[in-house]
Amino acid sequence: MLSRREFFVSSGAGMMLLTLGAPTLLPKALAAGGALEVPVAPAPFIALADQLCGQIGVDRELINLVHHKLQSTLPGLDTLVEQLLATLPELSAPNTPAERLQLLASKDPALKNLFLRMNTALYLGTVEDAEGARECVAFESVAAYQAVSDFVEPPSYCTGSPNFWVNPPAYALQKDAERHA
Amino acid sequence: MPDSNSTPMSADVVIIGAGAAGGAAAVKLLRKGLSVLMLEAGAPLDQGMLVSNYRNGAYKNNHMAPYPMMPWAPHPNFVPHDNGYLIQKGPAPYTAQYIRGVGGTTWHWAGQAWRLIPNDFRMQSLYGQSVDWPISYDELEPYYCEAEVEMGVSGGGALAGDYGSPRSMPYPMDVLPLPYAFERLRQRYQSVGLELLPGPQARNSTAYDDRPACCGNNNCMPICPIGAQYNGSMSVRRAQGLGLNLISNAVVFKLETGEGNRIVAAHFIDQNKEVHRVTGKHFLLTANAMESVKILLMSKDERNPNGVANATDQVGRRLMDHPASAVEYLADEPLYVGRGPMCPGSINNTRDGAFRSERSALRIDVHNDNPTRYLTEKYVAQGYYGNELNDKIKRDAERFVLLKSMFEMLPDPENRIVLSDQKDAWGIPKMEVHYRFPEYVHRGYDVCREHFADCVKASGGTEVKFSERGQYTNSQHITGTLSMGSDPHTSVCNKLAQAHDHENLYFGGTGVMPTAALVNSTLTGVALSLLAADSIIKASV
Repeated sequence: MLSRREFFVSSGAGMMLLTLGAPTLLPKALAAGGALEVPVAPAPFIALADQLCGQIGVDRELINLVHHKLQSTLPGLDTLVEQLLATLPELSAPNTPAERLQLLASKDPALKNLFLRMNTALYLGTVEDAEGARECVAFESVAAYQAVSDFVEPPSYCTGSPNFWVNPPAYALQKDAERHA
Repeated sequence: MPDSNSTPMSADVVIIGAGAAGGAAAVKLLRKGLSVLMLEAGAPLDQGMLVSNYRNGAYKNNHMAPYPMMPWAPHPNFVPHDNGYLIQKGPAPYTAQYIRGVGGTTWHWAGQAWRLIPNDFRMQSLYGQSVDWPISYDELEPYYCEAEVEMGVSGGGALAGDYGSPRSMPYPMDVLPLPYAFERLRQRYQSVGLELLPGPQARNSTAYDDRPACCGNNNCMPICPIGAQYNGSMSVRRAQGLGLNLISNAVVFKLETGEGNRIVAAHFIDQNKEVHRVTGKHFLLTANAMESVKILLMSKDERNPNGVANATDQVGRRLMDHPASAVEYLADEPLYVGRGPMCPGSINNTRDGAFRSERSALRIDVHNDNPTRYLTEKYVAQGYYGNELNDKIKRDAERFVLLKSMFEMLPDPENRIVLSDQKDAWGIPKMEVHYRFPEYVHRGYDVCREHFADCVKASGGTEVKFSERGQYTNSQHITGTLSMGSDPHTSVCNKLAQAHDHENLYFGGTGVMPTAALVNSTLTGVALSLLAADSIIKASV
């Protein structure tokens, strides 16, 4: 019988996983088109993305990709971005997220649309074109997985060894220790 | 279809369908010295490419999305839109998912490798419901053992024992231990009499069959990235090492009959739309419970005007699955689901009892899928953003619990597959599916809802969401349609898995099951396929 390491070496699976598991996985279409050529997003867009993601240091490459994709599907994107950025301080006033969406829609439905699409792209790594066709622009680097990185890996990634799941995550043990200190 | 125009190919046994059932049977037949030719409608699938497709995919909740669909071998797909391959005639939906490709649908199963229990074989005798199988549990038990060795099943242990399914051999591997979340829930559900146990899984708990142990990538569906979970391509590859002649991209559209109504040839069309004819002494149909039906119904001739194996119009009838209901909630303590295999444990002490005369029994799977994407999608749509969103994702993902139940469908002859007038791109008819739920299942739901409520209460649940009575999802356990039985007027094959109408035609896979019982059906389907292989071996002597 082969160990896991031996299996990887003998089958080439290790090389495959190393390739697939690179820190940022670029969608095939982008990779084929030269992902490194995606221009840096304008400063207001980066500022908006940072505010939408709170204290998560959202991946800069992801921000550039999202801008690149949204620009091709949302006419007047950069103007809308500046309007949404200026509106964000007002969004702390509503009591509920639903009221927040209502406020945005009452100002301009396009602002609500941008708000939802930016959050979807940054947190879930997907964008939709004008026809509603969905495309993946990022996976393991999205904000959602950063939010839970203390205790769980994105599916298909594993940094543990067999049966690691029997124990609570180290983060939980650390929290417990702090509570009892 | 045009006539065949190429040189005939031949073997002792022609197997149609290169999934787990066909692959395991091929290994057994080849080891007994029979030559085997296998026809598969789809293409070979590459694990690395499938992992890449998953990570690059925009619809990560659609387990079919990473699997390429060849125009000559379409499969049903319902996300983001119904592709129209499986035509829904209602009244209930039957949104089947299956993969046409070498390895079949076990590429994206959860790996749960359950045996039935003895009482599942005697539903009519014991409970006055459904039908009895023409074989007993004891008769199928040796084939369960073979299937477990072929697939590499881990199970048992001090907590679970034999799960009520008596064994003549130990499990090939020790059981995989429960994740932390499951152990906490196990302890808390005990207070309401529900026993959460680590289940049998076709997943390595140690290195086995030149494959590594599971390391908890939590991606059993749609694709295990390291091959710790069994899929049918592994058996097909083993069979190729034993001399299997595999022809992929070969869409069988006709079984030809000859003297004595024996099957003499299978006709297939390839990716270039060229037609071929292969001959054999025996034929084993393992093209899943739906595609197998299509092949039989298309194979009409003067001897068989309703199609092959269909003299009594039973092919395609008694279609079943395990209708599923669900509850999701947030527990009162952090559990951290999403670490380890996706379906490592379930509640099974609701699986049998006198109540089966009145209502469906049930099983409850505790799901270990990483809930991050699901929760994030919901909260983004609700208007959360920034640190408020981050905190909510984190807090709720720590506490999220999803339970899914399965109910036992009854073998209703009106639940069936028939050919459609519509054709696919290669001129092959599509299928129409007729499906309805019996009151028997609804009454099972009512009891299940009480169990769900007990689970929620026992673990301090809040933000509870139950699925509705009558609104069930498919569990993708496609069963029935080629039922095994003693009476040709209510079944398609006999206890040898041999067609009533054709002495050299056999069936394997889950379609042969005359009842669906309560557990994931793959292991039983493979065991039945090994039984069919045994019948062929005995007939070949």
